[in-house]
Amino acid sequence: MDLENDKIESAFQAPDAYFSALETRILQQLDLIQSEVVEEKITNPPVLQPIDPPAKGIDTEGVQKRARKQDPITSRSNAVNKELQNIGTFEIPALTFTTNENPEWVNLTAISELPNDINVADIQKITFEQPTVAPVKAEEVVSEPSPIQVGLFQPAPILEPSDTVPKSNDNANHVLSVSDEVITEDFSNNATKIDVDGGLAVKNEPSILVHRVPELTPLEAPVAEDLKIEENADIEAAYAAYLEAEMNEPSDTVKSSVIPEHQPQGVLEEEKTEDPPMAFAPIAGRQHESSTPGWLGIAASFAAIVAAYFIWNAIQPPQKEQTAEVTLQQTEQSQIVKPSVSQLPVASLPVSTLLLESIIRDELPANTEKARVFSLVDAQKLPEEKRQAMGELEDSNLSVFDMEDELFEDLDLETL
Amino acid sequence: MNIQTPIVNEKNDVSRLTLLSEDALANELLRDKPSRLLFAEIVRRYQKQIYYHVRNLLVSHDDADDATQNTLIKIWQHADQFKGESKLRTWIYRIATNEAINLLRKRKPSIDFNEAQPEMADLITSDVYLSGDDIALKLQKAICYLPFKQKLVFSLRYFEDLSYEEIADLTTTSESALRASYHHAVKKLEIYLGVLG
Repeated sequence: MDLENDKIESAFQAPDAYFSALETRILQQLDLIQSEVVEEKITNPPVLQPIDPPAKGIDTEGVQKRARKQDPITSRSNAVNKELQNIGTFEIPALTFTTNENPEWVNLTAISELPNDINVADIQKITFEQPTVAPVKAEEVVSEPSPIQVGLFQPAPILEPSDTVPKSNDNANHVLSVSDEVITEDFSNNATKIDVDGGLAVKNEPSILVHRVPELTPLEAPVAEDLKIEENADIEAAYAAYLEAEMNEPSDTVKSSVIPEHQPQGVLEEEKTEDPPMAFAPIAGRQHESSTPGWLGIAASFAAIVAAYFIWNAIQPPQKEQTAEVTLQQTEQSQIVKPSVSQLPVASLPVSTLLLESIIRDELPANTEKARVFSLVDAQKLPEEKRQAMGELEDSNLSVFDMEDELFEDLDLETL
Repeated sequence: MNIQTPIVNEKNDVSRLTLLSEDALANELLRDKPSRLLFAEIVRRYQKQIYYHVRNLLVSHDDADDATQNTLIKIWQHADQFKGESKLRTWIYRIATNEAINLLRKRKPSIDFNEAQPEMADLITSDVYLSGDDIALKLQKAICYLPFKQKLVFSLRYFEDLSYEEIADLTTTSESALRASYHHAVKKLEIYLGVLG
């Protein structure tokens, strides 16, 4: 190759971008590029964009108040005038609070000056100032004012057997009230229908007594005239007297002639065992303590255990067969494990074989289950007679000794 | 009435410096302390030559980049030391060569410039900004087996097209010695290229 005539370019070829960056870097390092930057800024001054003033001043007082007062009940902020949005683009001045509240959201309960009167009326209709008034149901009941207070507890009238109560001629399920107006109220999910007819109270299906007691009571009824209680303090005393009277009577005594004869006896007993009603008695039925003595349950459990034991023994296979089977299995295992040496006739074996057999038998454990595990016999440590016996054993094809463990390395079996 | 702003005057100066020859540019440097525009013109005009020169001597791009940067900074710092006794390019090449030597000494204090540095040949295939021409790469590898003085003379003469006079000024060596050195370098390279080829 002739370098003088064949010009070869340099192998180093840096791009122009590198040199531009190098130039900039050098000029910056020597603080010579700042004037150029200033020069460019001067030649191209930034154009200031005029800022349009807001179209109209916006009252954000309502928004701010609503943000401060998050409670919708106590808030008294002004409403957002949405008509301002139709004016055009405008800027809302910076607020002095931070909130995630959407400005578009309008809190109806916080606006007191809604133009629609209907809406105002609807809002006022729902109020928290009268929490104890029953909302609609009390208005639907058409009856003359009476001392009966719906929802308040009244003691049940005590029906004495001696009281003569006229039996209703109509259907027993419907009884006229004092005002001869049929009032039907359902207090226990239709479980008890209560009709009032001339001050008589008849229960049809008294499954829940707590509800039956207060609403059925016509205070002007002649039956309850003697026991009319005006003070709440006398309620418990009156009922205690009622309970005492009932306790003195036999349980199967018919208390009133108006009670149907087909009424189950359990219902009457339930009435007797009913606890005195309380102001906040639970609706669900109460659990009564069981009258069954405790030793009876223990005895029943013991009897069940004994019965289970006898049943278990009855379904098990006979013990004799099982024992025979286990014995057979053990016999088979022992026959497999035991070497065939023991089965050979002793007279036909040489003396050395017998010696070896004795050695092996000494090594065998007593348990036949572990008889498969043999300990290794170090032939080098054995006496000469035993070595000879092992050799004869192998010659008789009764055993094969493994040479891998080099136990018989010095033992010349061919010479034995 | 033509009133020129300073910006317009500076633009005119840039255009004028760009059109100046090497000798005129050296005269500008001799006349007064170099202005910012004059130095920028020197950087724009000589940075590639400086880079390729030190790259031929150092092979490594990073070393060449450092040497180029130091060279340009020293030109700015020692511009008043330019006497005009040699060409401006010769003066700049001398500064660049000294920077390359200083960098080699910094990398390897016990370096012997009368011997080759064959370890540089390994960088030929692994460094950046390399040509894809195989012959050019082989030549650069072969140059790495030259002693530093022969490498310097061959690089300035073969790649940078400097005359023997300029190289003599740069290296303070006689032209005859440079011719002999260059001749030996070419012969070695031809042998190396035959072996490598």
